[in-house]
Amino acid sequence: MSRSADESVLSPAASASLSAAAPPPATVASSSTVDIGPVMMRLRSARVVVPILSLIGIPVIWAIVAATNMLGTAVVSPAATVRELHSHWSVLWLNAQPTLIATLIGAAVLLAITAVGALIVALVPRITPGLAALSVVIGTLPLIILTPILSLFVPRGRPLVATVCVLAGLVPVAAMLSGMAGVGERGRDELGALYGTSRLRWWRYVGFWQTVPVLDIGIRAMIPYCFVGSIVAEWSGASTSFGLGEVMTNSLFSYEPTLLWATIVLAAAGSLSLLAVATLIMSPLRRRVR
Amino acid sequence: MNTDMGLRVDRVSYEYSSGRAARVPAVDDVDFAVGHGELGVLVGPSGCGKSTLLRIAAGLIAPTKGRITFGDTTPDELRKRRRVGFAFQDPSLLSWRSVRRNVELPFDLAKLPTDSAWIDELLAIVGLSDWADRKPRELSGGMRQRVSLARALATKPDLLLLDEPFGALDEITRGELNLELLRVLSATKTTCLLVTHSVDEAALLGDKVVVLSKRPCAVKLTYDIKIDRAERGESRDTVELLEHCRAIRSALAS
Repeated sequence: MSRSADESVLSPAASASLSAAAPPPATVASSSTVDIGPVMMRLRSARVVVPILSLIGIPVIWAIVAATNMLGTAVVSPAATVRELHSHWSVLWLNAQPTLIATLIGAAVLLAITAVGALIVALVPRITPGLAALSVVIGTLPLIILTPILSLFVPRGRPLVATVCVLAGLVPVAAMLSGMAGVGERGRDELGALYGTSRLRWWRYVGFWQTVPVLDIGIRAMIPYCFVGSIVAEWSGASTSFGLGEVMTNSLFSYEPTLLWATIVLAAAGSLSLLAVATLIMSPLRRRVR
Repeated sequence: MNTDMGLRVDRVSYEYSSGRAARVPAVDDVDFAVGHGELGVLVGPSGCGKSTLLRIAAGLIAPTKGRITFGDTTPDELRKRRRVGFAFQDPSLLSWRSVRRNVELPFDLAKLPTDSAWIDELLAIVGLSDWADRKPRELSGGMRQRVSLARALATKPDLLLLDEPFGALDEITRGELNLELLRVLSATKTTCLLVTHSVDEAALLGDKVVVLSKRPCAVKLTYDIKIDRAERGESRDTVELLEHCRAIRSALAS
């Protein structure tokens, strides 16, 4: 009883009457649609209020701790830190650049690993448990011990910092790929099997889009993590002369707490800026699957 | 392919095997037939194996014993020819696709050219023409189920399988969608097998009601209901339909 493609099962009149029976969007919107407005408002306000409170609260607590000397004189006030940041800006910015460049190189390598890994995981899901195990193994290795070992094989300076940065970012990447594999397969045993869809086709039309929330969180976590990885690598001797980690080490050992705090503030600002960039890059995809 | 004889479930049994554990029987010697263009309803307690039976009918799993035929073909063959439609209990609509693109999904998954005229007609049949460009999050639960139903019908299936599609809906929406389903099936002349655990729904919708026992499900009663589809909306509270409900309930309780 196969019907031809252009065969109509309803007369135009019947179709029209059924369409007419359907409630118009404008009238139904208030009664039939799920009203998620108040919930979304609460979530949005929580998303805005928490960072604002943190931005206000942390400097206030920091100022109180510095003013009361409860943790000793090594805690410099926020005002003194900002002054130091301003007066040493050219030196700090000069040192921030190699850290940022190494981070961007590391992040680019990790994004390429994510793209290739996501496709491999989608086509060969059997390797997913291995990825989860890999993320645990890499995660248990203290990052700081990697630098001296890697310095035996990778030249110090940008290549070594970027390598440690990639290794630091592998933990969220492996965890992200593992999560993506599980989410991307959702529904494949039903809809995919019903229509005899290949793994690649499923990934293209459904799987990839289902994994966007995981990808979004993973990339937003990975990029600031890479920045921290670069700083730790420099701190532990991977850089040759420049880098925020290098400045932190020098200011610590020459007892310049104000410069150390200024570097920490710059590193935090850099990390937050990278998070903002990652959020901005991911926002079109995030909006599409919302 | 001749499908005029409808669906024949011939002494079908199914056992799950879970690793080294003993095989678990889910379906036991089930035997019934649903005529071409008819609506068969499987009614039974939760977890009795109704959905398993539906998956066998879809050709997604093979029975351990017995066979299912649809006309002169098997469910697996029918599925490979994209002639089976399946609406799941959870509509599982894709949030990034509009209503229209969700209904078109089977064409993308099955690598078939999209039949836009038919999609327009389907959206009109399920009363969602004005909502075609909206996203699933803008729809109510009943509307999402209508999209799911339209998606199941997108490839013009010969056999439509519905796994408790209205189970999560409120009584009023469910009642509306029951009548809508009858209207859609009358319009498309599709043979349909529906799973429910609502006796009222079974009696209202079914041309044939198959009452199943607890797990492993076996047929307790096969019950024919001879009420014209066009009159079913009005027959909802008639003595005749209540009698059918009583007969099904007593079979379930026996």
